[in-house]
Amino acid sequence: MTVTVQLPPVLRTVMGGARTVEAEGDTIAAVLKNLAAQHPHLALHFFDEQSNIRRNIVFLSNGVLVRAPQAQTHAIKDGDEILLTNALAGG
Amino acid sequence: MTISLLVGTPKGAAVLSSKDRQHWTQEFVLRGWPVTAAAQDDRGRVYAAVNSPNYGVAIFASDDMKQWKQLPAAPRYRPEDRGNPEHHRIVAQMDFTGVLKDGGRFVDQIWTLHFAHGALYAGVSEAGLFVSRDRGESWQPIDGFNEQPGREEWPPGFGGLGAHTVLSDAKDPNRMWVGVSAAGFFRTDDGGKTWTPKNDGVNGDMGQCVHGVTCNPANASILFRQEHRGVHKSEDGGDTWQVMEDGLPVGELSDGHRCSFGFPIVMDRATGRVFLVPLESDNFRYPKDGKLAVYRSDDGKRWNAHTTGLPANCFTAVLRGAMAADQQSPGGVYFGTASGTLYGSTDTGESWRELSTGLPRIMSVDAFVL
Repeated sequence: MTVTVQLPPVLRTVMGGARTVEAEGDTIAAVLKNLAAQHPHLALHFFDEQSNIRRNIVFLSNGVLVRAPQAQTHAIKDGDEILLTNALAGG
Repeated sequence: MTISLLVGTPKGAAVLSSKDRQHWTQEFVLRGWPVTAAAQDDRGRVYAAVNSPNYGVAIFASDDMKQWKQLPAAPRYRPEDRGNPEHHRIVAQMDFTGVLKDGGRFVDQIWTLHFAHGALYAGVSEAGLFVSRDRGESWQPIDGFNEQPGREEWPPGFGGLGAHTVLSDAKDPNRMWVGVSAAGFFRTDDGGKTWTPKNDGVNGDMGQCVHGVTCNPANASILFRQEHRGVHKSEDGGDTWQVMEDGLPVGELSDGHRCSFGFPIVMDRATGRVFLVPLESDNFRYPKDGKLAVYRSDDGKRWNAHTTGLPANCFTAVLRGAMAADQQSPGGVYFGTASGTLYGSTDTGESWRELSTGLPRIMSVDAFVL
């Protein structure tokens, strides 16, 4: 299934300015792996050394908040929109 | 010929460029990325390290310091590498989801980039050393350093366990030095296979908290060292160290030890002159009495303050990576403050002027010829 992923501004610079990209997968983690396979520069931004999704990335899956640990198994369906953002810090 | 300064901040990097070192233009690049270190290779390409707390560590490269391209790889530990518990305790302040509890080792910052003998080196935290022999396209850990016995018990500094200083010997590619807060200063003489601590003569009552070390790679047996516990010099490649603080302001550390505290230390190689920005001990971390001064010495035996052009009511700090020399003649020296002002001297430190202000906290300053 194909979903639309909205990248955060700092990662758009890595992708030539693209705001959104399309990827495939049945969980958020699978989508990230698919994106990393398509665009290897993104892999080190998504996953740490232990292949965990980076701990401060937060997802909005069709507007529903999903944190990194839950993203490993969070199911998605064709046509979903996933927004990557980060845990809020500071005031 | 253009002199370009890469000034790293938590929000990107200012690039100041000048053909005469009097008139500077400024751009702000790598916007949104914390920029922590930079280096230039023998083809003139500049590498900048970024570390986002959200999106990890990466390296960008540029031939003109205007257009930057992310390299496909960055230093990373192996999945099975185990981390230092005390370092985890410090960086876990940002661990909202608790993944650090499993103890994996990871690179959370590149503290320094260093090009020598055709290779690009990265000193990182959690403390480690990596090398790229293909100009950043791939990276390999230097296991002789990263897997030293006892590293799991190395004590982190206030900012974590970071390998922040990498030095090389232009005459001997097998000899290098690495400084780690607060594990000390190490040397290899066999190309990185084995490493020996080099702290003899440095007061280590509270750990070996090396803050910065500088040398001329062409004469690398002479080293100058700004330690948490004072300023030292070695004339034997780091085998032994002597305190060299004549003329420097001395303050009392929190444990009562009196010494000259500070972070950055750089050398103008043509003259051998060394530059420091002392701070009022570890309790205060601002220039003594608020008078910002750069101290210069020809040989470490005597230091003199240079204040022309610097403010006398300044209660900020200069971080360890935030000072650089351009190695031109006469020597240019540049440093940035934690409150975002950049100063420069083009007469080997005699006088200074403000080159930029209003920047975020300045974490690194590097000078390159393009």
